[in-house]
Amino acid sequence: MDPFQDETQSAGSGFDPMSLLRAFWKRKMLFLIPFILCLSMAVVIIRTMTPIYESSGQLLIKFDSMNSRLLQDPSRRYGRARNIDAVAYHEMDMLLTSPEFMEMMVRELDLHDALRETIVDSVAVGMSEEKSVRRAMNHLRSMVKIKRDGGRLFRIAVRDPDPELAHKLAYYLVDRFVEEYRASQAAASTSTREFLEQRLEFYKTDLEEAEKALLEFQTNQASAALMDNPINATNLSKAQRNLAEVKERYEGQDATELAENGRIVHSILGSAPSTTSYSADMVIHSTISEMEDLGLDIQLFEEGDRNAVELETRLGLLRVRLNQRIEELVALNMPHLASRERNQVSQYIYFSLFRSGKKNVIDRLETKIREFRRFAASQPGQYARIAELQDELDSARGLVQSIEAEITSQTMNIEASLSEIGMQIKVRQRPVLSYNPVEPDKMKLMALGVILSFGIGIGLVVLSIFLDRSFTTVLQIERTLGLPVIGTLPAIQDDHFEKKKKIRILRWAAIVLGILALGAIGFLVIYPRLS
Amino acid sequence: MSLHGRMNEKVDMAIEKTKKGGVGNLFDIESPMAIELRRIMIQVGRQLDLDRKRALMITSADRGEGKSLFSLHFALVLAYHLPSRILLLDADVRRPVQHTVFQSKVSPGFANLLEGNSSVEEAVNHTRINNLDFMAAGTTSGHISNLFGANRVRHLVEELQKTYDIVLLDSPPVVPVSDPLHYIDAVDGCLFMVMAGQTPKDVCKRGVEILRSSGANILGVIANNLGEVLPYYYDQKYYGYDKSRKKRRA
Repeated sequence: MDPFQDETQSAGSGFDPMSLLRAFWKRKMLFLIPFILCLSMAVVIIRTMTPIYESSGQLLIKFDSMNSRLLQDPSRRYGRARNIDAVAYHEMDMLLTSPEFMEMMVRELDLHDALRETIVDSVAVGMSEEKSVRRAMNHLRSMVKIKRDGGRLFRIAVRDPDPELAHKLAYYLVDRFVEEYRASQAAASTSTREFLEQRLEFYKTDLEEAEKALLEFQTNQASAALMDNPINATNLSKAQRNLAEVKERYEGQDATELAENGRIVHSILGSAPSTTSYSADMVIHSTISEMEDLGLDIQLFEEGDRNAVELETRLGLLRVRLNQRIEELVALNMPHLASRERNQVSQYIYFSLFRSGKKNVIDRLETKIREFRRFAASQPGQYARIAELQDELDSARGLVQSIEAEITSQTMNIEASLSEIGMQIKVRQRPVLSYNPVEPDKMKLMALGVILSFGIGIGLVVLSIFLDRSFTTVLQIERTLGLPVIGTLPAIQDDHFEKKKKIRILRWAAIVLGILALGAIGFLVIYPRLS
Repeated sequence: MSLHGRMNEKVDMAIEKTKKGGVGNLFDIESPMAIELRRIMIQVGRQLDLDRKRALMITSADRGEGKSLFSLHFALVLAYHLPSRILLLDADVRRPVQHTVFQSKVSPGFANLLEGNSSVEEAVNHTRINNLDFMAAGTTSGHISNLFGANRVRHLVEELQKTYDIVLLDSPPVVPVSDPLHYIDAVDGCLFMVMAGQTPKDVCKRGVEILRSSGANILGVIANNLGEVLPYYYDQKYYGYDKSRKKRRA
């Protein structure tokens, strides 16, 4: 019976899985020893390590834009390319681990004193406060960590061998951090506002200067006619256009309406009522002169201007007041008339008074325009200068107005970020006291041990198979040497060989154990510093 | 190599068992080891008529491939199975081993005979097995390389063959030393030992090349340690001859 029959048969196929398995089986110890050693190392580490406890609070951050519309965030130009979570994480990390914050915490909690009490070596006794604070800061920094929970959630975790200390510290830190964060966020708006306020001052001065320059020029240089002339280079054409329009209406539509009204009133009273007694009334007189001023001003503003709208409102109010006063007087003077007839009469009076006012406005506007044109024609240099000054004044006024609006919005932002509703950071979960240590993480260490030992074991086995240059089968011997194998011997069983083998195994075990012991010592020294 | 002192006890035990007619471990007709040794004996016998006077050399490429142990066991098997007178000659003057097995002095022996300082009668040790004698390696006062000049080995073997039918030369390895090449002319054939799972292929190849280029008649290769490399091949269970299992069944 040939024990190598199977080998001869499988020789043609080239690859023999059985022989590979046998090669593995032969080197089983090479795999088993690192496996057992790694696992036992992991167990030793788990047993010997001082447990470390963690307490953490979760924070929610809002990313609403806090930036000014005037001072735009340059990153926005590139759309949403930047990872907001990462940016916020770095921002928070920077704030949490900043020396200022750390020192504040150390000093608030008197951690440096606590540290000085725990260390009783000669170095610690003679330590200056500054040095002990710095040491405490470093210690605190090693305990504190920010973790990203994803989706705008962050976690401030504190680790310490004492679970209660970790909890207390985490509790305190989370609250203080939130305050700091809000303050830092508000500081951004505050600084924007401060900057804007500073600019506002600057532009206001500009505006005042422009106003003063224009006034001075008009008083000192330009003729007296221009002193209180609201017409200038920019609104001249507008004023002329408006004047033409108003004039046309005054002579056309308004005249026919008044004539119609007059005919009705004539049929009621028999004669046209005198308007002079009404215009002599104090209230009516002042209202009409006010309306005239407003009417003049209103012609000089562009349509849709905020000031023009304001003037229109005021004008409307004045009209109502005028109407009421006229109705009162009519009721007083002509009590015998029916209310409908009284209405007609007061409407007629109102209309004719209003028309006379309008006439005044037209006259005044015409005069002003004429004066201005005369001035512009006679003094072209001064006219140009006035136009220039007027431009400056307008632009300065526009800037001041927009800055004032921005300051208002920044103030709103600051108030919002400091209030509970609009705040940018929220404590989502308070730190909880946990008596389950996070270190040593049994699962992690065991998994690490298993993976490491598998890797090392398989690696060693594969390496030894690859490096094996000896014969493993009879076929190999016959092929390589070109000689028949006439006999195959098992390892001759002998006490001498057994002893040698034992010595060999012991030697290897000693080497492996030595390496392992060194590794374990190294690990115990390095690991606590890593975490 | 260290002492093989305990080997002697083992041989004694085997001899005792043989004398009693019982079946010892070594000569267990069913043991894989005995089967293999007999197979080798038969294979050698096919190539060389062992009824005639023969000289065999056992060598290998490198040290520690089991030459000495194989020589010893092979000599025992030959002595057990053949009626011939057999001499086991420790031809490794540099690292002699066999004298430790038989717990005898290293000299006078092979080297002394080559130098001519001693007679064959003085050098030969008788073992407890009647048809098996043993000669130690011996010592030399001069340089070992100078021992083997002028066909001295051939002459010596021829002289020994006057008394013995089969002379087994336990020779040194061929790659590290050149001594075995002097023995080639003196012997009828070589047995080349290969320690599987240990000796590199290239070294084995080199050894065979050296022997071939010297015109040696290599009878065949004996693969050692295959039981270690290929587990179960020599497990008695593999052959179905496990006595303990039979007993259990009964």
